[in-house]
Amino acid sequence: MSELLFGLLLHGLITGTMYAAVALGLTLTYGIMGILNFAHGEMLMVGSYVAYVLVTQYHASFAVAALGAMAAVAVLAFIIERSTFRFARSEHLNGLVISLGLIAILQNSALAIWGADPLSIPPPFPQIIEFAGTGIGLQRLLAAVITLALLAGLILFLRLTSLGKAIRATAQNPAVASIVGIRVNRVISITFALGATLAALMGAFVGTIYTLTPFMGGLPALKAFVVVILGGLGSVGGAIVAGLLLGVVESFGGAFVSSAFRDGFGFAMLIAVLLVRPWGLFGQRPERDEM
Amino acid sequence: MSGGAAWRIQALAFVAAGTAYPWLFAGEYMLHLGILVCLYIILTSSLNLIIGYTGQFAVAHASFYGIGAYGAVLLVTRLGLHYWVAWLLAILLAGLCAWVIGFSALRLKGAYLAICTFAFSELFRLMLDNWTTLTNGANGIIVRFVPPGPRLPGMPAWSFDSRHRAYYLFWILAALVVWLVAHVVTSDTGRVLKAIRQDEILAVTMGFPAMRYKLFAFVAGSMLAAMAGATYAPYISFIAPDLFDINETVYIMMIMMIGGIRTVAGPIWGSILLVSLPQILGIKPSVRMIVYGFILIVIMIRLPGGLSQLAAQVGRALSRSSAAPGPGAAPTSPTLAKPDDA
Repeated sequence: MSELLFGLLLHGLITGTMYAAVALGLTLTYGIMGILNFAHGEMLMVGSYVAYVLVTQYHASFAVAALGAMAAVAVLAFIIERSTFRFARSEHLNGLVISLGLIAILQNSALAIWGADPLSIPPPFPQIIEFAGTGIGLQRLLAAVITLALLAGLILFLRLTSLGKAIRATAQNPAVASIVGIRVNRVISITFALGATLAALMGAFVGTIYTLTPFMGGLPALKAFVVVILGGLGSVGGAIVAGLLLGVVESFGGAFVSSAFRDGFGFAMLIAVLLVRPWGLFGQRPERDEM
Repeated sequence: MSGGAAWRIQALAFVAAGTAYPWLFAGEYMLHLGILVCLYIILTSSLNLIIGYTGQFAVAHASFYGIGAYGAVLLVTRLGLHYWVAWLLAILLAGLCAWVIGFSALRLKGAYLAICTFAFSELFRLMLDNWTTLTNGANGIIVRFVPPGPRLPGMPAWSFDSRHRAYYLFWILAALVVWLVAHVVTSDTGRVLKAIRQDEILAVTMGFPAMRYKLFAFVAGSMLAAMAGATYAPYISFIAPDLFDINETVYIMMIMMIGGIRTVAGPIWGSILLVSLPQILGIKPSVRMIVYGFILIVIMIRLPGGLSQLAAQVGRALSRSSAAPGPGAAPTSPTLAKPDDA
């Protein structure tokens, strides 16, 4: 029994790191430009397809393909931010509508290029290993470890480097940040691209574990919404903790309550939290007007 | 937009064109297009009441459309109710759902409201997909009945079994919905709704219970969407979960935004152009969505009033060049949350 519980916990945490990584990009973007990017999942989807093309058509190793996906999506995100979101910063709901338009463009472009049939990236480590009494895919474990290391690195980057400090300053107050000499536009571009890049890497991982379809970004994006609300919109630490929490809740709920409703637990939690504590489990209660 | 002869002429032109349409464009296919246009006029006008006029960015419109469709079909097939009784009950059910959801969710603003309604929309789709004993899951339901017509004295029983009859049913409903929304937004209630969009705290300070007004707009708009679904399901004779998912909401929103948010005519022009053009030109749905995505983004950045704003600007430019130059009343670019009404 305790081995079963441990196995569920481990699987939940592994899935949770992925949720946390996708949510981190969303929360960074929201924190710095106030725009909720509904098309964040499409960054993951594009990353996944780029990795797929690199692996299957150019016979690149998975590591090279993942890096290529991150680079390609970083460029795409840069273009998107410069050409669309930059013009919606003063009107955040316009930004939200723009991101809905981006979903339509990116999903249907992928549909036109790759079709709707599910594809998959051959995993570099397909073996199952025994870990503390529970069987686990090596691919998933490695993906989770790499993701955790990246998340830790990202937190250190935000805390310690001057660019990281510039990002946090811009998120707090863009006007003051620009007065002290921070190039706000550039910092916002970089932050947006950073979040999208992280999503692209998750896309490459997801492609080796599950399948690729043009609509694959929807569910991770939804989970990321749940996570950023639970963690408090704009909070980096909150997103990581809430991401892990959601992974564990789904893992246990799927095993003990209903596996068909597995994806519903997060939304039910989300609606409950929004109604009781809209500023999130870990977020700070904001001014009345922002809520 | 507000009152005046031009407005009345436009309304009359719409009524005349809609009534004469089956004679002008014969053929089953053109009638089908007309029905689709009427369907989207209902869906976009009702969403316009919620997002456009009241400023409540809720993205679960397709779910209420789906509650209407599934509700009416299931009440007829499972409980054996008369179609029009089921039709009415499905709309009331959607209204009840909207009231429960709105009562809690409308306390949230902006992105939070969007996420909460988005989550509801996904839960609804999950329910349709997974409650297979009731909804037949992703395979959908084939609808095998047609709406019976009202029993008239001295006439044999009839039903809406031809496209002509179905067209007039949709056309009458669409005209009623447009009239209703136009009536509401120009009434005292409508002024409060607009005030809430522009500054909710101010509206509350002036003594208007904002929550009650927001709830009214949300419930009324959702019920109209459910009416569209309850009427459309037997016509199209097949319903499935992915007809009522978030992509449908986005599509409805695109038509509303491109046609012109916060105008009565915008949803009508948007539905006429955006629903029928790709069908007539034979554009694939995926290409259509890519094109609309680009148009939507350009509109959000450069022309937040949509085609209606463009038409108004062109009209002003024309009248300026022909008549004496009036006061330079170039509108500042309106946005979703800021005041813009003339």
